Amino acid sequence: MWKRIYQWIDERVHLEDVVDFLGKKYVPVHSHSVWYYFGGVSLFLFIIQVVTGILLLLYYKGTEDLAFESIHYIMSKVEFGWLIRSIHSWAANLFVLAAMIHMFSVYFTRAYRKPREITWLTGMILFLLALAFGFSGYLLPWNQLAFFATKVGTDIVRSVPVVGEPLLTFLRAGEEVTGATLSRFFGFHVAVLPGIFTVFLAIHLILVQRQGMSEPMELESAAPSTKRTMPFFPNFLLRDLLLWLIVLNVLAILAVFFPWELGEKADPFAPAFAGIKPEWYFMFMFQTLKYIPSHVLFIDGDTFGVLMFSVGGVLWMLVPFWDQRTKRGERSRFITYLGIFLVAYVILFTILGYLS
Amino acid sequence: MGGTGRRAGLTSAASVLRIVPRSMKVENESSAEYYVWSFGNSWTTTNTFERGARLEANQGGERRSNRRDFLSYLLGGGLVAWAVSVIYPVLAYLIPPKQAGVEVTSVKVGKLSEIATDSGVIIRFGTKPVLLVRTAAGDLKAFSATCTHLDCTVQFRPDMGVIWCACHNGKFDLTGRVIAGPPPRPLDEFNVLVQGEDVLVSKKG
Repeated sequence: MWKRIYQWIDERVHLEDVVDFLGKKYVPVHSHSVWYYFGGVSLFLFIIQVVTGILLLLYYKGTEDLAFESIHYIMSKVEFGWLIRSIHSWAANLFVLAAMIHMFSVYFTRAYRKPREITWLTGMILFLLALAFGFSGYLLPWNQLAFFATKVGTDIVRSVPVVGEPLLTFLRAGEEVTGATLSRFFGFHVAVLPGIFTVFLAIHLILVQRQGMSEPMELESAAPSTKRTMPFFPNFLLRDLLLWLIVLNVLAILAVFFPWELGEKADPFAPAFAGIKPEWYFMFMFQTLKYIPSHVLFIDGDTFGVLMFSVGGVLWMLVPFWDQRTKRGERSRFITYLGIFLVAYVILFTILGYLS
Repeated sequence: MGGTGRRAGLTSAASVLRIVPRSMKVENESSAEYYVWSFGNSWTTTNTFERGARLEANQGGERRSNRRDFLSYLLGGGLVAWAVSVIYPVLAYLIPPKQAGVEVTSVKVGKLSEIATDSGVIIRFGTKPVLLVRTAAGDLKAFSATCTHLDCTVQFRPDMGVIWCACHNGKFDLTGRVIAGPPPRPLDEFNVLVQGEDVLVSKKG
């Protein structure tokens, strides 16, 4: 039966190319092979987000009057609604974490070097989109925490030179964070971002398939006989799937034992309370802004902070193009130290953010 | 069109519409390349040409290339105009219309006796929050409750005797001046007026 279906399709679209390609695909085996799995884990968590997101859409209402109430309804009345919502929140956080680990591992192993510059760039775009997903999704429950975090987060846009004000109005759908902002963020979260994300994800994955996994630099010059590999299909794929199963279990445990709280409904006329904080992955930036004085040289402190992070982000994105040593095939200490510094900075400022 | 008769170097099915020189100056006719627009719907080059085409290229070349530039500008300009007419409405649509709300200049808060000393309350001033503080001495003060730093809503902290923003630990004294933290500007002050028992808050100036 399966054979006949396969033959029917094969006659029309010639599957043998694909089968042939998969059969010849090998994954290098070495001491850093474990990092190969984080891309797959990120992909799996993204799939979870799509599925649970669609499920939440069946009941969620993206308006000022009903957003908070509809999530309350999902969590208290809908069968397993608490589970779906909790998984969506947890998976969102693990997704950013997995993508971060994936990004740093690619950075430290210099897998961004030629010929994989485009893969790195699309990966960075996907990461920024993931942050945008997180930021827009944070507001959707329309609770106090989300309301003020969004006020602060969007207000930072004001410090962007020249286009700051129009950009702020565009994001907030007005001067203030209101129900109009909620509708807009809802639109971004469920339509705009998924559309753009899918395009870049497709490019990213096709490139990974076409070019195969990157080998560490020190292995490149090794004799082919000393290199160990593993067939992608089925060996690597099965390991991938096993890990996905573990991740799913971890998610279920987190969602059941640490359910995501809903908090209090947003009230634009209540004071911000202590402990207003963004999602953890924005924390280091938020904390940095706290330490920057109100004026640096002749510019506004926040504008300075935003400029620093923007310039830093662009340089990070363009690392395959300015990292000359790796281009020449040499080991660059600077790249390693820069990476270690950044990881340490993010961790330190995140911890400081939670302590203060 | 001068290009009639036998079309050397072209597929026989294609019917030649125009023959123009590839470069503006044709120094050696026998080796110059010519663009030929044919019904094949693409520019084809050929360096074999026949008499009619040569005559046309020589005599009308200048005039033709002027006409061609004019057409390019027309097409290019049209394309730009078309792009603007598509993009502009979309961009304009993204910015929401200004709310034609009534400009609020003053708000009645309530009775003086209802406001405890050494406390603060946030009142609605149109769409904006305003903080009304009654000091320990019984004075009434009102400020915009929007922190000048990053837009959080501030509150009065009787324990610290200051106006405090929870988001980034900004502190203002009871004249609205920044005394600690990142806020770049003082809070805008509002007028407080007591008429009999009623407390009114109004915009300054």
